[in-house]
Amino acid sequence: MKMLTNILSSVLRPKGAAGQLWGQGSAALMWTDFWELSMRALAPFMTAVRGAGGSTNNEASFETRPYKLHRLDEPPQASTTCTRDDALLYYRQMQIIRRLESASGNLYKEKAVRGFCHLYSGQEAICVGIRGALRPEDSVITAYRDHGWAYVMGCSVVGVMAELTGRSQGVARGKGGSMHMYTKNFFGGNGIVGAQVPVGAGVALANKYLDRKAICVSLYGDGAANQGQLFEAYNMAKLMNLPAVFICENNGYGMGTSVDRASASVNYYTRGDYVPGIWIDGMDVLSVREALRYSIDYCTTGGPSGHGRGPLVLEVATYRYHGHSMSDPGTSYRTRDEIQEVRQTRDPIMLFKDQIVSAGLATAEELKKIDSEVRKEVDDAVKIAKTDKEIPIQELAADIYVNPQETTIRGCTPYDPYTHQRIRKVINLH
Amino acid sequence: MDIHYIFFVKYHVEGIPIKMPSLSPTMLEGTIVQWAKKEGDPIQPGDVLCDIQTDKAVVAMDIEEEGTLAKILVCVDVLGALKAGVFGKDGDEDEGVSFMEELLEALTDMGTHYTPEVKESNQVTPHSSPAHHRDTGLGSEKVEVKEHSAGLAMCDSETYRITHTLHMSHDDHASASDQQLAVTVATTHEEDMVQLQKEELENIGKESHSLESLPTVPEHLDSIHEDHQLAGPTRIMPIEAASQIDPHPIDLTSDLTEIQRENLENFATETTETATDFYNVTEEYYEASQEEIEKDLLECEEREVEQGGADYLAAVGASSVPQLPDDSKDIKVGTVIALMVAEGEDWKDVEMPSTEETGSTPTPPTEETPRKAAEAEAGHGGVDYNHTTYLTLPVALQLKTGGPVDVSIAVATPAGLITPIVRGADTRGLEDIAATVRDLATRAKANKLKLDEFQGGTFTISNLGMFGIREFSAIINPPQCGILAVGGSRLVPGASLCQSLAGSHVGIHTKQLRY
Repeated sequence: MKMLTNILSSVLRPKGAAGQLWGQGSAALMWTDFWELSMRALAPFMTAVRGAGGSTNNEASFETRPYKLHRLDEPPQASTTCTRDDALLYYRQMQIIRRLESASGNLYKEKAVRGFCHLYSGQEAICVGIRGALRPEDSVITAYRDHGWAYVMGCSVVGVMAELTGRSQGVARGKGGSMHMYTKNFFGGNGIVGAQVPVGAGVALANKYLDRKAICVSLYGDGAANQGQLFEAYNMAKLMNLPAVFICENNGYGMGTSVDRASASVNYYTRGDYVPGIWIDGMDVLSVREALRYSIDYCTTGGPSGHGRGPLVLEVATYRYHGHSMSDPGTSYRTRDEIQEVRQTRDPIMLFKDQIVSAGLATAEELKKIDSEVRKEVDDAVKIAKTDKEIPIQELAADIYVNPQETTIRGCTPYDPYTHQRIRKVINLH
Repeated sequence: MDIHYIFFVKYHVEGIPIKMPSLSPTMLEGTIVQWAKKEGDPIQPGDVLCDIQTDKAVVAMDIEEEGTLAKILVCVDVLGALKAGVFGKDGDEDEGVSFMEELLEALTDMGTHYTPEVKESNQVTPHSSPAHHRDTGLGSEKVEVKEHSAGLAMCDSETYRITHTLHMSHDDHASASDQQLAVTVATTHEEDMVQLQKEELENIGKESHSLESLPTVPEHLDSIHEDHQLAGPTRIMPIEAASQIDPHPIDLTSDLTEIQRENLENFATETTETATDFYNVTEEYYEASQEEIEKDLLECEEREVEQGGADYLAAVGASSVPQLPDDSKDIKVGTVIALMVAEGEDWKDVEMPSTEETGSTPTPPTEETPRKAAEAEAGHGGVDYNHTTYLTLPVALQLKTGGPVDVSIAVATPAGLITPIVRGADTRGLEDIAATVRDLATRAKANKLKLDEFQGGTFTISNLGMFGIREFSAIINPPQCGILAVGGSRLVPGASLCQSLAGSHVGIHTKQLRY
């Protein structure tokens, strides 16, 4: 109000050069000018968060995309409900991951991030959908395309970006980098192709052994799906009836090899053979979430002991927009038109946005507001990541062992050893 | 009292800077070869913004943001585009399209900024210099370079005579986004020039000298396009730089003294003698040595091609050379190359960045090549103070030509090899010679030699030791009587400096050849 009176008094005062705009004193002031001025002054107060568009529902039901089954009789549910809070959460998470990956790419091109950087753009629906179904006690292990997973499993955006730039606020204090991010019930972040799947089976074994009634989700790509150790893991998981869910994120290309040129059988959900499987459309968040709810139920209930019917192999069909890593432009084995076509027609964020807006769970303005908040959050995180300090060299020997038997760690030569330090709290210890 | 309150709405859109990305792990600089978007074009995530020439390849830069391209701050590097072969077209060998026409077509395709306009004229050449007109015999065709024009010139790599120019003049009144550059192409009478060159060369020596027998630089090293046969090897450089070079005169007979002219005629008339007879060596040895000469020449040429335009501009004086519109130098990774605005904002209102934003790019360590290290060690102009100047005096004293002995010292400049002369070297002291050599070399590198300082001469000393060449044989520059080629020195027990002495038997007593 004070602002308005100031403006009005300034306008209505007779003046010299600037006053020619308004004529000779207040008499020449048009009511339209007054209206325009006051609207401009009051503009910040007029945009309301609620009620700017129509009314919003609190819950809506959606149809899931069709599934394909292997050795299973009943599919996951054909329709699911989603609350408004969940919808906004999923949208926000997907947008953060999209912007996070884009910022990581830019940081890499500025040479602020070194080493490897594998981007998850286009596949956000998988991690957000799976996380939406997991319970706090469930574990996840994935490969090197893990920035999105690190975020949804609990690492902050600053933590992820600072880890990429190798600074002390990173989730692994900057020592890990892109491929080695860890947090509670998230086992990384693994560099070797396909190495995480047997480890994931092991985590499932631990869960069963400790009677936790928790599952372990092990993710791998279509390129890793032909690795031998995966089939060994399937065998042991089936034999021991482990609560393991093996998920293949099929984005159509290994590094640069399309699935048709790499695999004799491209139905990755059937590769478990004796292990039942489900094919899921990975561009729809709610379908993924529903399939995981089904899987959790399958792995923790029923069966001979009543504690689960054994492992499952899921295949989630998705697409990645960037190249395999930052050294791959991504256009030498596929056309730009193909990438653009997927971006225009099957983008997961766009599809989910259309769903929830047409169902009335949220308005377009709200979502736009979330977009700008997300952008700001990621930009701030980038600034912090660029300017944060690095850890001192003595931390090379910190947090190596949980229970060190000897605290003297050899350095580059035997004559300058380091002393083992404990800096962070231990996580993921049974 | 009137207090003036000016109530206005200032509507400024902050532009999102787009920086030069590092598209490969080793890339530190790049040049823009082609813009795929114009100012005002909408940008979708995943669109290609521009093609960038990195150290290895031409890579497309795509962009993840959504918005509108507001301002392009860096224009295309035409020179870089030429080198990158952006103007290449596949499969039109049958069309017989000339190189310049193709260049024009490609410039049209490249974007809105170029409206090419072919103008047939023979009015092209550099700033006049009296020396140029005196020696070439081409007549006094003086041309004025258009004021405020930038452009590219294609010149013959040996003589630096300009054959084609590409003028780009921009309207100073228009803003950068409204620039319409008119490209005019002017050609010289190419065939006439080639003809004149041939005639001049024929005048020097009679039947023994023909164009084919003289050593030439392999064409593929200099011509930008393999598909197009240009008139001799060419270089492409900014026109102002090209116009400041004094073209090497072809007429070598203007400054000869009586004795030298006589010697030359005598040498030229003895046509029956072949190289094998003269050198008293076998065919195979001769051919092998010819191959070595060609190889050395090739290596020198490759190094020159590598150094490229940037060094050249430095030699000519880059500050005085007007650049092509905006930037034709390499752009460092992290500099802002364009501005875009977010979706929904008016791109015309973008404000220019006041300070250049630099990312946290680490400064790379400077690359030390053996040549650079040797040059730094050798000091100035590639002249090895130790060997060449020490040799000048005794060589001068040995030669008894009946007149003053003028020893030419071979100096490597970015423009090529040039041989400034130390006049009367037999009567001067060592320090004097050293000082003269240093002065000549510095000025040669800066292209400030007077004509009589490199024309003429009795004997040449060429030193390629600092480039790692162990030994080489040099070709005599007629009408000089000999050339001493000094290779690199090494500390080897019992061995000495590798030098090869080529001399015409005219004017040098046979005994003096043993050194």
